[in-house]
Amino acid sequence: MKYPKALEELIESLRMYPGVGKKTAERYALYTFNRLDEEQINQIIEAYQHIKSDIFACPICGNLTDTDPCYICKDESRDQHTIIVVEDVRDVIAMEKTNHYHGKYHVLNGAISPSDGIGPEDINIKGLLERLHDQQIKEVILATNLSNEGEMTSQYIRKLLSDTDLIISRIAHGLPAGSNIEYADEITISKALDGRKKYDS
Amino acid sequence: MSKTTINQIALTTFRNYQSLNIDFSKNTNILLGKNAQGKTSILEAIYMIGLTKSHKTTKDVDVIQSNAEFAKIKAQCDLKDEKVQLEVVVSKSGKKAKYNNIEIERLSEYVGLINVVMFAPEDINLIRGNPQNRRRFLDLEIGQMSKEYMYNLQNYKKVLKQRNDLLKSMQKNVKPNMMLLDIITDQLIDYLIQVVAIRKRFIRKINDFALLNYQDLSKTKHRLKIEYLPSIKDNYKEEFQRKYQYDMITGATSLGAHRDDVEFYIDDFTIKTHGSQGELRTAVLAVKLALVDFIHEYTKSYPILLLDDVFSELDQERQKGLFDYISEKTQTFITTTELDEQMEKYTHEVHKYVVLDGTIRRVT
Ligand SMILES: [Zn+2]
Repeated sequence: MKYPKALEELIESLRMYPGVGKKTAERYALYTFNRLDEEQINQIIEAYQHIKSDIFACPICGNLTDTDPCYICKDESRDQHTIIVVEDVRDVIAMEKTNHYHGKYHVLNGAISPSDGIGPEDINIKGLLERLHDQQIKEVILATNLSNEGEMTSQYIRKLLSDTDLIISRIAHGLPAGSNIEYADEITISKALDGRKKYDS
Repeated sequence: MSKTTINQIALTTFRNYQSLNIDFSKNTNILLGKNAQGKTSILEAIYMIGLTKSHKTTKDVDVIQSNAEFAKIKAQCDLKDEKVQLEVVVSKSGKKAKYNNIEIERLSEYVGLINVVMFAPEDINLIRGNPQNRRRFLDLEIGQMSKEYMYNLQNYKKVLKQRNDLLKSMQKNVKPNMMLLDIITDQLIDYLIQVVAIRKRFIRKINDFALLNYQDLSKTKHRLKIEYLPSIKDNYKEEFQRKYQYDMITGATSLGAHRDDVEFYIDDFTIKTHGSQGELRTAVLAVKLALVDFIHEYTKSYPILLLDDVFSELDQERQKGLFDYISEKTQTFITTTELDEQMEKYTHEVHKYVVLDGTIRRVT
Protein backbone atom coordinates (compact mmCIF):
# COMPACT_ATOMS: atom_id res chain seq x y z
CA MET A 1 0.00 0.00 0.00
CA LYS A 2 1.37 3.36 -1.06
CA TYR A 3 0.45 6.98 -0.37
CA PRO A 4 -1.03 9.09 -3.18
CA LYS A 5 1.64 10.38 -5.56
CA ALA A 6 1.99 13.96 -4.21
CA LEU A 7 2.32 12.76 -0.64
CA GLU A 8 4.81 10.09 -1.62
CA GLU A 9 6.89 12.74 -3.43
CA LEU A 10 6.95 15.00 -0.40
CA ILE A 11 7.99 12.07 1.82
CA GLU A 12 10.82 11.18 -0.55
CA SER A 13 11.93 14.84 -0.69
CA LEU A 14 12.04 15.14 3.09
CA ARG A 15 14.14 12.02 3.29
CA MET A 16 16.99 13.82 1.53
CA TYR A 17 17.81 15.43 4.87
CA PRO A 18 20.34 13.68 7.08
CA GLY A 19 18.75 12.01 10.09
CA VAL A 20 15.26 11.99 8.58
CA GLY A 21 14.06 8.43 8.18
CA LYS A 22 10.87 7.09 6.65
CA LYS A 23 8.81 7.46 9.83
CA THR A 24 9.80 11.07 10.44
CA ALA A 25 9.31 11.98 6.79
CA GLU A 26 5.80 10.48 6.88
CA ARG A 27 4.94 12.43 10.02
CA TYR A 28 6.13 15.75 8.52
CA ALA A 29 4.40 15.12 5.20
CA LEU A 30 1.07 14.24 6.83
CA TYR A 31 1.44 17.20 9.18
CA THR A 32 2.00 19.44 6.17
CA PHE A 33 -1.24 18.28 4.61
CA ASN A 34 -3.37 18.13 7.76
CA ARG A 35 -2.17 21.13 9.75
CA LEU A 36 -0.57 23.76 7.53
CA ASP A 37 -2.72 26.23 5.63
CA GLU A 38 -2.01 27.53 2.13
CA GLU A 39 -0.31 30.68 3.38
CA GLN A 40 2.15 28.75 5.52
CA ILE A 41 2.95 26.38 2.69
CA ASN A 42 3.59 29.32 0.35
CA GLN A 43 5.93 30.76 2.94
CA ILE A 44 7.92 27.52 2.90
CA ILE A 45 8.01 27.41 -0.90
CA GLU A 46 9.24 30.98 -1.06
CA ALA A 47 11.98 30.37 1.49
CA TYR A 48 13.16 27.32 -0.45
CA GLN A 49 13.19 29.25 -3.72
CA HIS A 50 15.39 31.98 -2.28
CA ILE A 51 17.90 29.73 -0.57
CA LYS A 52 19.97 28.97 -3.65
CA SER A 53 19.32 32.15 -5.65
CA ASP A 54 19.91 34.71 -2.88
CA ILE A 55 22.45 33.05 -0.60
CA PHE A 56 26.10 32.56 -1.46
CA ALA A 57 29.47 32.37 0.26
CA CYS A 58 31.02 35.82 0.83
CA PRO A 59 33.90 36.06 -1.67
CA ILE A 60 36.09 37.66 1.00
CA CYS A 61 35.52 35.68 4.18
CA GLY A 62 33.48 32.63 3.14
CA ASN A 63 30.59 33.44 5.48
CA LEU A 64 27.08 32.83 4.08
CA THR A 65 25.53 36.06 2.87
CA ASP A 66 22.95 37.68 0.63
CA THR A 67 25.07 40.78 0.00
CA ASP A 68 28.48 41.08 -1.62
CA PRO A 69 30.51 41.39 0.54
CA CYS A 70 28.77 40.16 3.68
CA TYR A 71 27.62 42.57 6.38
CA ILE A 72 30.68 41.82 8.52
CA CYS A 73 33.23 42.45 5.76
CA LYS A 74 31.30 45.62 4.78
CA ASP A 75 31.19 47.04 8.32
CA GLU A 76 33.97 49.63 8.56
CA SER A 77 33.34 50.26 12.23
CA ARG A 78 34.69 46.81 13.03
CA ASP A 79 38.31 46.27 13.99
CA GLN A 80 40.12 45.94 10.66
CA HIS A 81 43.30 44.52 12.20
CA THR A 82 42.05 41.30 13.77
CA ILE A 83 40.76 38.16 12.10
CA ILE A 84 39.27 34.99 13.61
CA VAL A 85 39.69 31.79 11.62
CA VAL A 86 36.86 29.26 12.06
CA GLU A 87 35.88 25.96 10.44
CA ASP A 88 32.21 26.57 9.82
CA VAL A 89 29.65 29.37 9.23
CA ARG A 90 27.86 28.20 12.37
CA ASP A 91 30.95 29.20 14.34
CA VAL A 92 30.59 32.79 13.04
CA ILE A 93 26.98 32.90 14.25
CA ALA A 94 28.01 31.47 17.64
CA MET A 95 30.79 34.05 18.06
CA GLU A 96 28.66 36.94 16.87
CA LYS A 97 26.02 36.04 19.47
CA THR A 98 28.51 36.75 22.24
CA ASN A 99 28.85 40.37 21.10
CA HIS A 100 32.35 40.10 22.53
CA TYR A 101 34.37 40.22 19.36
CA HIS A 102 34.30 43.06 16.84
CA GLY A 103 36.92 42.10 14.28
CA LYS A 104 36.74 40.13 11.05
CA TYR A 105 36.23 36.43 10.27
CA HIS A 106 37.54 33.85 7.90
CA VAL A 107 35.55 30.64 7.32
CA LEU A 108 37.66 27.67 6.18
CA ASN A 109 34.68 25.45 5.39
CA GLY A 110 36.13 22.37 7.02
CA ALA A 111 39.28 21.09 8.68
CA ILE A 112 42.22 19.06 7.42
CA SER A 113 41.48 15.34 7.73
CA PRO A 114 43.49 12.92 5.55
CA SER A 115 41.16 10.06 6.51
CA ASP A 116 38.26 11.96 4.93
CA GLY A 117 40.39 12.92 1.95
CA ILE A 118 40.49 16.58 3.03
CA GLY A 119 43.90 18.19 2.57
CA PRO A 120 45.00 21.82 3.07
CA GLU A 121 44.08 22.63 -0.55
CA ASP A 122 40.51 21.44 0.00
CA ILE A 123 39.66 24.11 2.57
CA ASN A 124 39.83 27.88 2.18
CA ILE A 125 43.41 28.42 3.39
CA LYS A 126 44.51 30.01 0.12
CA GLY A 127 41.85 32.73 0.50
CA LEU A 128 43.10 33.43 4.01
CA LEU A 129 46.70 33.86 2.87
CA GLU A 130 45.61 36.28 0.15
CA ARG A 131 43.68 38.35 2.66
CA LEU A 132 46.59 38.43 5.08
CA HIS A 133 48.80 39.60 2.25
CA ASP A 134 46.49 42.34 0.98
CA GLN A 135 44.71 43.69 4.04
CA GLN A 136 45.97 45.53 7.10
CA ILE A 137 45.56 42.55 9.43
CA LYS A 138 47.91 42.39 12.41
CA GLU A 139 46.47 39.60 14.53
CA VAL A 140 45.17 36.14 13.63
CA ILE A 141 43.12 34.18 16.17
CA LEU A 142 42.90 30.49 15.28
CA ALA A 143 39.50 29.26 16.44
CA THR A 144 39.15 25.91 14.72
CA ASN A 145 37.60 23.19 16.87
CA LEU A 146 39.60 21.67 19.71
CA SER A 147 39.47 18.28 17.96
CA ASN A 148 42.53 16.55 16.50
CA GLU A 149 41.54 17.80 13.03
CA GLY A 150 40.93 21.36 14.24
CA GLU A 151 44.25 21.31 16.07
CA MET A 152 46.04 20.00 12.98
CA THR A 153 44.48 22.74 10.84
CA SER A 154 45.51 25.49 13.26
CA GLN A 155 49.05 24.15 13.46
CA TYR A 156 49.23 24.05 9.69
CA ILE A 157 48.13 27.69 9.34
CA ARG A 158 50.47 28.72 12.14
CA LYS A 159 53.42 27.16 10.29
CA LEU A 160 52.44 28.84 7.03
CA LEU A 161 52.51 32.19 8.85
CA SER A 162 55.70 31.59 10.82
CA ASP A 163 57.75 34.03 8.72
CA THR A 164 55.32 36.94 9.10
CA ASP A 165 55.07 39.65 11.74
CA LEU A 166 51.50 38.67 12.55
CA ILE A 167 50.44 38.05 16.13
CA ILE A 168 49.04 34.52 16.12
CA SER A 169 47.02 33.02 18.95
CA ARG A 170 44.93 29.91 19.56
CA ILE A 171 41.68 29.82 21.53
CA ALA A 172 42.05 28.13 24.92
CA HIS A 173 40.67 24.96 26.46
CA GLY A 174 38.79 25.82 29.62
CA LEU A 175 36.15 24.90 32.15
CA PRO A 176 32.55 25.76 31.26
CA ALA A 177 31.57 29.18 32.62
CA GLY A 178 29.94 29.09 36.04
CA SER A 179 30.94 25.46 36.57
CA ASN A 180 32.32 23.74 39.62
CA ILE A 181 35.71 22.12 39.18
CA GLU A 182 34.61 19.04 41.10
CA TYR A 183 32.05 18.16 38.43
CA ALA A 184 34.38 18.54 35.44
CA ASP A 185 36.02 15.47 33.93
CA GLU A 186 39.74 14.82 34.36
CA ILE A 187 40.66 15.72 30.79
CA THR A 188 38.88 19.09 30.88
CA ILE A 189 40.59 19.94 34.16
CA SER A 190 44.08 19.03 32.91
CA LYS A 191 43.53 21.00 29.69
CA ALA A 192 42.29 23.99 31.67
CA LEU A 193 45.39 23.76 33.85
CA ASP A 194 47.67 23.62 30.79
CA GLY A 195 45.92 26.70 29.39
CA ARG A 196 46.08 28.69 32.63
CA LYS A 197 46.60 32.46 32.51
CA LYS A 198 48.99 34.56 34.50
CA TYR A 199 47.43 37.40 36.46
CA ASP A 200 48.49 40.80 35.23
CA SER A 201 50.05 42.47 38.26
CA MET B 1 39.01 -5.02 54.12
CA SER B 2 36.70 -4.42 51.21
CA LYS B 3 36.17 -6.83 48.36
CA THR B 4 33.88 -6.97 45.38
CA THR B 5 31.63 -10.02 45.29
CA ILE B 6 28.91 -11.51 43.15
CA ASN B 7 26.40 -13.06 45.49
CA GLN B 8 23.93 -14.31 42.94
CA ILE B 9 23.90 -14.63 39.19
CA ALA B 10 21.04 -15.27 36.77
CA LEU B 11 21.64 -16.27 33.15
CA THR B 12 19.11 -16.37 30.34
CA THR B 13 19.90 -18.11 27.03
CA PHE B 14 23.60 -17.58 27.69
CA ARG B 15 25.81 -20.21 25.99
CA ASN B 16 24.38 -23.61 27.02
CA TYR B 17 22.36 -22.20 29.94
CA GLN B 18 18.68 -21.82 29.09
CA SER B 19 17.92 -20.32 32.48
CA LEU B 20 20.10 -20.38 35.56
CA ASN B 21 19.91 -18.79 38.97
CA ILE B 22 22.56 -19.52 41.54
CA ASP B 23 24.00 -18.19 44.82
CA PHE B 24 27.72 -17.98 45.50
CA SER B 25 30.00 -17.87 48.50
CA LYS B 26 31.71 -14.54 49.14
CA ASN B 27 34.96 -16.50 49.41
CA THR B 28 35.94 -19.43 47.23
CA ASN B 29 33.65 -21.23 44.79
CA ILE B 30 34.81 -24.35 43.01
CA LEU B 31 33.03 -25.49 39.87
CA LEU B 32 33.64 -29.18 39.22
CA GLY B 33 32.84 -31.00 36.01
CA LYS B 34 34.11 -32.66 32.89
CA ASN B 35 35.10 -30.56 29.89
CA ALA B 36 32.46 -28.84 27.73
CA GLN B 37 29.79 -29.01 30.45
CA GLY B 38 29.57 -25.23 30.95
CA LYS B 39 32.07 -24.44 33.71
CA THR B 40 33.95 -21.82 31.73
CA SER B 41 30.68 -20.21 30.60
CA ILE B 42 29.97 -19.29 34.22
CA LEU B 43 33.34 -17.55 34.44
CA GLU B 44 32.74 -15.93 31.06
CA ALA B 45 29.41 -14.56 32.33
CA ILE B 46 31.07 -13.10 35.44
CA TYR B 47 33.82 -11.59 33.30
CA MET B 48 31.18 -10.10 31.02
CA ILE B 49 29.20 -8.53 33.84
CA GLY B 50 32.42 -6.63 34.60
CA LEU B 51 33.77 -5.79 31.17
CA THR B 52 30.69 -6.25 28.91
CA LYS B 53 32.76 -8.48 26.66
CA SER B 54 34.04 -12.03 26.70
CA HIS B 55 37.57 -12.90 27.79
CA LYS B 56 37.78 -14.94 24.62
CA THR B 57 38.52 -13.02 21.48
CA THR B 58 35.21 -14.07 19.99
CA LYS B 59 32.34 -11.88 18.89
CA ASP B 60 29.91 -10.78 21.60
CA VAL B 61 26.95 -12.40 19.88
CA ASP B 62 28.61 -15.81 20.18
CA VAL B 63 27.36 -16.03 23.78
CA ILE B 64 23.73 -15.99 22.59
CA GLN B 65 22.18 -19.44 22.54
CA SER B 66 21.27 -20.55 19.03
CA ASN B 67 17.61 -19.73 18.25
CA ALA B 68 17.54 -17.13 21.03
CA GLU B 69 17.32 -13.37 20.41
CA PHE B 70 19.55 -12.27 23.27
CA ALA B 71 21.69 -13.44 26.17
CA LYS B 72 21.18 -11.88 29.59
CA ILE B 73 23.36 -11.83 32.68
CA LYS B 74 22.01 -10.40 35.91
CA ALA B 75 24.08 -10.21 39.08
CA GLN B 76 23.55 -9.18 42.69
CA CYS B 77 26.80 -7.74 43.91
CA ASP B 78 28.56 -6.20 46.87
CA LEU B 79 30.43 -3.20 45.58
CA LYS B 80 32.30 -1.06 48.10
CA ASP B 81 29.97 -2.32 50.86
CA GLU B 82 26.88 -1.44 48.87
CA LYS B 83 24.40 -3.89 47.38
CA VAL B 84 23.99 -3.29 43.67
CA GLN B 85 22.32 -5.06 40.79
CA LEU B 86 24.13 -5.25 37.48
CA GLU B 87 22.80 -6.42 34.17
CA VAL B 88 24.35 -6.97 30.75
CA VAL B 89 22.25 -7.93 27.75
CA VAL B 90 23.81 -8.94 24.44
CA SER B 91 21.53 -8.99 21.43
CA LYS B 92 22.14 -9.04 17.71
CA SER B 93 21.51 -5.29 17.59
CA GLY B 94 24.01 -4.46 20.33
CA LYS B 95 24.81 -4.44 24.02
CA LYS B 96 23.11 -2.83 26.98
CA ALA B 97 24.32 -2.48 30.54
CA LYS B 98 22.24 -1.56 33.58
CA TYR B 99 23.27 -0.44 37.04
CA ASN B 100 20.50 -0.81 39.62
CA ASN B 101 18.03 -1.08 36.74
CA ILE B 102 19.18 2.16 35.16
CA GLU B 103 20.60 1.82 31.68
CA ILE B 104 24.09 3.27 31.34
CA GLU B 105 24.19 5.08 28.00
CA ARG B 106 27.91 4.79 27.43
CA LEU B 107 29.43 1.38 28.04
CA SER B 108 32.76 3.06 28.81
CA GLU B 109 31.14 4.49 31.94
CA TYR B 110 29.93 1.04 32.99
CA VAL B 111 33.21 -0.79 32.45
CA GLY B 112 35.33 -0.53 35.58
CA LEU B 113 32.39 -0.33 38.01
CA ILE B 114 33.10 -3.90 38.95
CA ASN B 115 36.63 -5.25 38.55
CA VAL B 116 37.34 -8.79 37.48
CA VAL B 117 40.66 -10.54 36.95
CA MET B 118 40.74 -13.77 35.01
CA PHE B 119 43.37 -16.41 34.51
CA ALA B 120 42.70 -18.99 31.81
CA PRO B 121 45.03 -21.57 30.20
CA GLU B 122 45.35 -19.49 27.01
CA ASP B 123 46.74 -16.59 29.06
CA ILE B 124 50.22 -18.09 28.69
CA ASN B 125 50.09 -16.26 25.36
CA LEU B 126 50.64 -13.10 27.37
CA ILE B 127 54.27 -14.18 27.54
CA ARG B 128 54.60 -16.70 24.75
CA GLY B 129 52.27 -15.19 22.12
CA ASN B 130 52.85 -12.30 19.74
CA PRO B 131 53.25 -8.66 20.90
CA GLN B 132 49.60 -7.91 20.12
CA ASN B 133 48.61 -10.09 23.10
CA ARG B 134 50.73 -7.96 25.41
CA ARG B 135 49.51 -4.64 24.02
CA ARG B 136 45.90 -5.80 24.31
CA PHE B 137 46.59 -6.76 27.93
CA LEU B 138 48.03 -3.31 28.69
CA ASP B 139 45.23 -1.42 26.97
CA LEU B 140 42.47 -3.48 28.58
CA GLU B 141 43.84 -3.51 32.11
CA ILE B 142 45.01 0.11 32.25
CA GLY B 143 41.90 1.28 30.39
CA GLN B 144 39.70 -0.20 33.12
CA MET B 145 41.46 1.90 35.73
CA SER B 146 42.39 5.14 34.04
CA LYS B 147 40.19 7.52 32.06
CA GLU B 148 43.29 9.53 31.27
CA TYR B 149 44.79 6.48 29.58
CA MET B 150 41.63 5.78 27.59
CA TYR B 151 41.53 9.38 26.38
CA ASN B 152 45.14 9.38 25.24
CA LEU B 153 44.97 5.91 23.72
CA GLN B 154 41.80 6.63 21.74
CA ASN B 155 43.23 9.87 20.41
CA TYR B 156 46.53 8.16 19.65
CA LYS B 157 44.65 5.62 17.54
CA LYS B 158 42.64 8.32 15.76
CA VAL B 159 45.73 10.37 14.88
CA LEU B 160 47.58 7.20 13.86
CA LYS B 161 44.81 6.47 11.38
CA GLN B 162 44.99 10.04 10.04
CA ARG B 163 48.75 9.69 9.67
CA ASN B 164 48.54 6.36 7.87
CA ASP B 165 45.89 7.71 5.53
CA LEU B 166 48.06 10.74 4.85
CA LEU B 167 51.07 8.50 4.13
CA LYS B 168 49.00 6.48 1.67
CA SER B 169 47.79 9.63 -0.11
CA MET B 170 51.37 10.90 -0.27
CA GLN B 171 52.39 7.87 -2.31
CA LYS B 172 50.27 9.13 -5.20
CA ASN B 173 51.44 12.71 -4.88
CA VAL B 174 54.36 14.11 -6.85
CA LYS B 175 54.87 16.88 -4.33
CA PRO B 176 54.10 15.29 -0.95
CA ASN B 177 53.12 17.72 1.78
CA MET B 178 55.96 17.22 4.25
CA MET B 179 54.76 20.05 6.46
CA LEU B 180 51.47 18.29 7.08
CA LEU B 181 53.28 15.02 7.84
CA ASP B 182 55.40 16.93 10.31
CA ILE B 183 52.35 18.39 12.06
CA ILE B 184 50.53 15.06 12.30
CA THR B 185 53.71 13.45 13.60
CA ASP B 186 53.96 16.10 16.35
CA GLN B 187 50.34 15.46 17.27
CA LEU B 188 50.94 11.69 17.37
CA ILE B 189 54.01 12.19 19.56
CA ASP B 190 51.99 14.27 22.07
CA TYR B 191 49.62 11.34 22.68
CA LEU B 192 52.40 8.76 22.37
CA ILE B 193 54.34 10.32 25.23
CA GLN B 194 51.29 10.10 27.50
CA VAL B 195 50.40 6.53 26.53
CA VAL B 196 53.95 5.25 27.00
CA ALA B 197 54.44 7.07 30.31
CA ILE B 198 51.26 5.55 31.76
CA ARG B 199 52.14 2.08 30.44
CA LYS B 200 55.62 2.28 31.99
CA ARG B 201 54.23 3.38 35.34
CA PHE B 202 51.74 0.49 35.23
CA ILE B 203 54.45 -2.05 34.34
CA ARG B 204 56.64 -0.85 37.21
CA LYS B 205 53.78 -1.22 39.66
CA ILE B 206 52.78 -4.66 38.36
CA ASN B 207 56.42 -5.75 38.45
CA ASP B 208 56.71 -4.89 42.16
CA PHE B 209 53.69 -7.02 43.03
CA ALA B 210 54.45 -9.83 40.56
CA LEU B 211 57.99 -10.25 41.89
CA LEU B 212 56.64 -11.07 45.37
CA ASN B 213 53.84 -13.23 44.01
CA TYR B 214 56.26 -15.25 41.90
CA GLN B 215 58.49 -15.96 44.87
CA ASP B 216 55.51 -16.92 47.05
CA LEU B 217 53.98 -19.18 44.41
CA SER B 218 57.20 -20.92 43.41
CA LYS B 219 58.69 -20.93 46.93
CA THR B 220 61.96 -19.80 45.34
CA LYS B 221 64.11 -16.68 45.45
CA HIS B 222 64.02 -16.21 41.67
CA ARG B 223 63.36 -12.68 40.53
CA LEU B 224 60.61 -12.06 37.97
CA LYS B 225 61.25 -8.93 35.95
CA ILE B 226 58.92 -7.20 33.52
CA GLU B 227 60.27 -4.65 31.10
CA TYR B 228 58.55 -2.28 28.72
CA LEU B 229 60.22 -2.31 25.29
CA PRO B 230 59.43 0.91 23.46
CA SER B 231 59.96 1.12 19.71
CA ILE B 232 61.49 4.56 20.29
CA LYS B 233 63.75 5.35 23.21
CA ASP B 234 63.89 9.13 23.17
CA ASN B 235 64.43 11.83 20.54
CA TYR B 236 60.96 10.95 19.34
CA LYS B 237 60.86 13.52 16.57
CA GLU B 238 64.24 12.59 15.12
CA GLU B 239 63.43 8.88 15.09
CA PHE B 240 60.16 9.55 13.31
CA GLN B 241 61.85 11.86 10.79
CA ARG B 242 64.43 9.19 10.01
CA LYS B 243 61.54 6.91 9.03
CA TYR B 244 59.59 9.43 6.94
CA GLN B 245 60.68 7.98 3.60
CA TYR B 246 60.20 4.40 4.77
CA ASP B 247 56.75 5.19 6.17
CA MET B 248 55.76 6.89 2.92
CA ILE B 249 56.77 3.84 0.91
CA THR B 250 54.93 1.39 3.17
CA GLY B 251 51.98 3.71 3.80
CA ALA B 252 52.12 2.91 7.51
CA THR B 253 53.63 4.26 10.70
CA SER B 254 56.55 2.05 11.67
CA LEU B 255 57.16 3.44 15.17
CA GLY B 256 54.99 4.12 18.19
CA ALA B 257 52.86 2.65 20.96
CA HIS B 258 51.26 0.24 18.47
CA ARG B 259 54.69 -1.32 17.89
CA ASP B 260 55.89 -1.49 21.50
CA ASP B 261 56.27 -4.73 23.44
CA VAL B 262 56.80 -6.13 26.92
CA GLU B 263 59.43 -8.70 27.91
CA PHE B 264 59.35 -11.04 30.92
CA TYR B 265 62.49 -12.35 32.63
CA ILE B 266 63.31 -14.74 35.46
CA ASP B 267 66.60 -13.55 36.89
CA ASP B 268 68.29 -12.64 33.60
CA PHE B 269 66.72 -15.17 31.26
CA THR B 270 63.81 -14.31 29.01
CA ILE B 271 60.94 -16.62 29.89
CA LYS B 272 59.62 -16.74 26.33
CA THR B 273 62.73 -18.49 25.02
CA HIS B 274 64.35 -20.03 28.11
CA GLY B 275 61.56 -20.65 30.63
CA SER B 276 60.07 -24.06 31.43
CA GLN B 277 56.31 -24.67 31.18
CA GLY B 278 56.07 -24.39 34.96
CA GLU B 279 57.99 -21.11 35.09
CA LEU B 280 55.93 -19.69 32.25
CA ARG B 281 52.63 -20.58 33.86
CA THR B 282 53.72 -19.39 37.29
CA ALA B 283 54.93 -16.09 35.85
CA VAL B 284 51.61 -15.39 34.13
CA LEU B 285 49.75 -16.32 37.31
CA ALA B 286 52.03 -14.01 39.31
CA VAL B 287 51.19 -11.19 36.88
CA LYS B 288 47.46 -11.85 37.14
CA LEU B 289 47.64 -11.83 40.94
CA ALA B 290 49.68 -8.62 40.67
CA LEU B 291 46.69 -7.13 38.85
CA VAL B 292 44.55 -8.12 41.82
CA ASP B 293 46.95 -6.28 44.13
CA PHE B 294 47.13 -3.31 41.77
CA ILE B 295 43.35 -2.97 41.55
CA HIS B 296 43.14 -3.24 45.31
CA GLU B 297 45.66 -0.47 45.79
CA TYR B 298 43.93 1.70 43.21
CA THR B 299 40.27 1.16 44.17
CA LYS B 300 40.70 0.06 47.81
CA SER B 301 38.68 -3.03 46.98
CA TYR B 302 39.72 -6.52 45.87
CA PRO B 303 38.44 -7.58 42.43
CA ILE B 304 36.73 -10.87 41.70
CA LEU B 305 39.26 -13.54 40.70
CA LEU B 306 38.43 -16.12 38.06
CA LEU B 307 40.71 -19.13 37.67
CA ASP B 308 39.83 -21.29 34.72
CA ASP B 309 41.30 -24.76 34.81
CA VAL B 310 44.65 -23.76 36.29
CA PHE B 311 45.06 -26.31 39.06
CA SER B 312 45.69 -29.30 36.87
CA GLU B 313 48.69 -27.44 35.46
CA LEU B 314 50.32 -26.56 38.79
CA ASP B 315 52.29 -28.86 41.03
CA GLN B 316 51.15 -29.26 44.64
CA GLU B 317 53.61 -26.72 45.96
CA ARG B 318 52.27 -24.07 43.63
CA GLN B 319 48.66 -25.09 44.25
CA LYS B 320 49.22 -24.50 47.93
CA GLY B 321 50.94 -21.20 47.16
CA LEU B 322 47.89 -20.09 45.20
CA PHE B 323 45.47 -21.04 47.97
CA ASP B 324 47.64 -19.20 50.47
CA TYR B 325 47.43 -16.11 48.29
CA ILE B 326 43.67 -16.24 47.84
CA SER B 327 42.75 -17.31 51.41
CA GLU B 328 39.76 -15.03 52.00
CA LYS B 329 41.15 -11.95 50.32
CA THR B 330 39.19 -12.16 47.10
CA GLN B 331 36.00 -13.81 45.98
CA THR B 332 37.40 -16.53 43.77
CA PHE B 333 35.85 -18.82 41.18
CA ILE B 334 37.81 -21.92 40.27
CA THR B 335 36.93 -24.43 37.59
CA THR B 336 38.53 -27.85 37.63
CA THR B 337 37.85 -31.35 36.34
CA GLU B 338 38.73 -32.97 39.65
CA LEU B 339 39.97 -32.25 43.14
CA ASP B 340 42.70 -34.51 44.36
CA GLU B 341 43.03 -35.45 48.03
CA GLN B 342 45.69 -32.85 48.62
CA MET B 343 43.43 -30.08 47.35
CA GLU B 344 40.47 -31.33 49.35
CA LYS B 345 42.46 -30.36 52.43
CA TYR B 346 42.68 -26.67 51.51
CA THR B 347 39.19 -26.48 50.20
CA HIS B 348 36.93 -27.88 52.88
CA GLU B 349 35.57 -24.46 53.76
CA VAL B 350 34.50 -23.53 50.27
CA HIS B 351 31.36 -23.87 48.18
CA LYS B 352 31.55 -26.66 45.65
CA TYR B 353 29.30 -27.07 42.64
CA VAL B 354 28.98 -29.82 40.08
CA VAL B 355 28.42 -28.65 36.51
CA LEU B 356 26.83 -31.14 34.16
CA ASP B 357 25.47 -30.41 30.70
CA GLY B 358 24.25 -26.87 31.34
CA THR B 359 23.00 -27.52 34.88
CA ILE B 360 24.73 -26.64 38.10
CA ARG B 361 24.20 -28.06 41.57
CA ARG B 362 25.81 -27.19 44.88
CA VAL B 363 27.31 -30.21 46.62
CA THR B 364 28.91 -28.78 49.75
ZN1 LIG C 1 32.54 38.38 4.38
